[in-house]
Amino acid sequence: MTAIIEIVAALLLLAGASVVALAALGVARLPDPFSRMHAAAKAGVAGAGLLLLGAGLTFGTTGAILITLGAVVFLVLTAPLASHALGRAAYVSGAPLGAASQADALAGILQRHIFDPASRPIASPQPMPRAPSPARPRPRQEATAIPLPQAQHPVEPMLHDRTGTTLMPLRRILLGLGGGPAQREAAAMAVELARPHGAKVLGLSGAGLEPRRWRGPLPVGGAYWAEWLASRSRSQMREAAATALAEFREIAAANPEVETMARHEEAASEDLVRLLAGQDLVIVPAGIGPHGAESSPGHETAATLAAAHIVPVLRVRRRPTSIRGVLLIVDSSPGCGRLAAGLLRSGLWSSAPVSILPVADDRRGVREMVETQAELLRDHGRRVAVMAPIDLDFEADDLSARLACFDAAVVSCLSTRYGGFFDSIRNCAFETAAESVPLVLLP
Amino acid sequence: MTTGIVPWAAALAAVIAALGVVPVAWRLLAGPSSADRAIATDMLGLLGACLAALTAVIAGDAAFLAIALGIALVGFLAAIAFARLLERRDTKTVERSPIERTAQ
Repeated sequence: MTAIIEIVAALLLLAGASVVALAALGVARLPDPFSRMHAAAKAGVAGAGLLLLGAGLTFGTTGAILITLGAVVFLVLTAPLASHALGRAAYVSGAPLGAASQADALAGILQRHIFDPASRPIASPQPMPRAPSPARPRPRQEATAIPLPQAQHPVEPMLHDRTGTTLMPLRRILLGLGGGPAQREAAAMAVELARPHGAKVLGLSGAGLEPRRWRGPLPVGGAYWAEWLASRSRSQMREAAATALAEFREIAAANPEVETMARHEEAASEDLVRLLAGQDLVIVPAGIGPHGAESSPGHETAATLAAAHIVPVLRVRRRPTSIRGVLLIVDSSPGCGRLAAGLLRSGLWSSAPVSILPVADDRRGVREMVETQAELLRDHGRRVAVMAPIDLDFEADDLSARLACFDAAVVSCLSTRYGGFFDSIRNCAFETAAESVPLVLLP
Repeated sequence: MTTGIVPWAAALAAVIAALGVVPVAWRLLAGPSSADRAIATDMLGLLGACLAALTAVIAGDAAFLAIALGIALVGFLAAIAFARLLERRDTKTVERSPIERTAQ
């Protein structure tokens, strides 16, 4: 009997030590702090638990077994708490996500700081204070998102019109060639907008992708898959860009009077900012994320570019023959008070009647924003109607039926999270509008 | 009947666990972020508890097991304190965006 117990204890000791040593190896070799914490928390606790139980068994006394059992129970209870706290702190302090993480699920939920800000300075024509927005610039080692510094207003010489709202001359239009079903419509829209203004259209594909620059240790086996995923998404992006480029060339050839240019960049986001800063309007096809893959409204290129507040973004889902009505969606999220000014400044759809849709007008500031913007628009000679407000918990189908008579919407962002009780209210007026209205302007 | 394998197993386990300290110590020194260092410290605490338990087995004195328990306790508190420190330090020294940095 004692022999069996001794053998079991010896096996437990050896197994525990091996698992702990593997956990230690994981802490040293895994690619990012989160996976390292995963090794320390799970393998480390499992190994230490086995080893402690083995030690307790070796003594065989009640006291020793109780102490080791107590230590194991304590470890199992506290390790999740400690690693959760450490992981949260690592995320907040901006620890880089590994190359294999395809998306940042906490983006916009937790504030995130920049780790290792050793980036080159940007030649920005006009330094601007940063907009207080939850979408922070992200660290540079992410593969899927476009991290952009944020500015408040477009940095371009503006013409002052009589009441002080600045009007932007439409001289340079940037067309995002991300591919996808809406690409052809977006290209046609860009050429159509450029024709009366004599604007130049620059078709740009693939910009803002970070080159792979991995400074940490290589993960065990993970490097292969990370590289495979990265190269696969790169080749997908290139294919989408090539198709989009061919379509753009075709449309440009059909409209020789519009000056067009196409360009493919796989540059870092700083260069993208330099390109964006010279443009007056960015036209982006709907539903397309940074790598030419389909993505949700909150993550697509239009949303990322709009969150950077550098240039107004026009998201094209489909090109309507005429604009029957423009809709402003005003809720309590930041930027909703500047929608009318953005619409006037862009000079788009100057003859269409404007409707304002207040969302949850019992929230602070929504009614004021609606009234001031209606007044501003009336001052500029627009026909303005304020629609009946909708609640936060509206039915998406009802709203899209009401939105069917509009061809363009002006919104402050493509997706927002409503608080509610435990985030229980998930529908978003912006997303509904983005799905049902063909043109969305994000000033 | 005793087999006498336990001291050998404990000695071997101690060697394995002590070898495990090396990569963790390297991670603690190399970083690169302070979160990595905090995680390495946490892992060092676990290794310390393991080594204390093995010391108890090798020395034949159950009192060392209490040290393992103590290290596990302190390690948890240290991890929480590190996490709070990381979050708080970063909210104080707010990073500037690249555009703002060039403004200076």
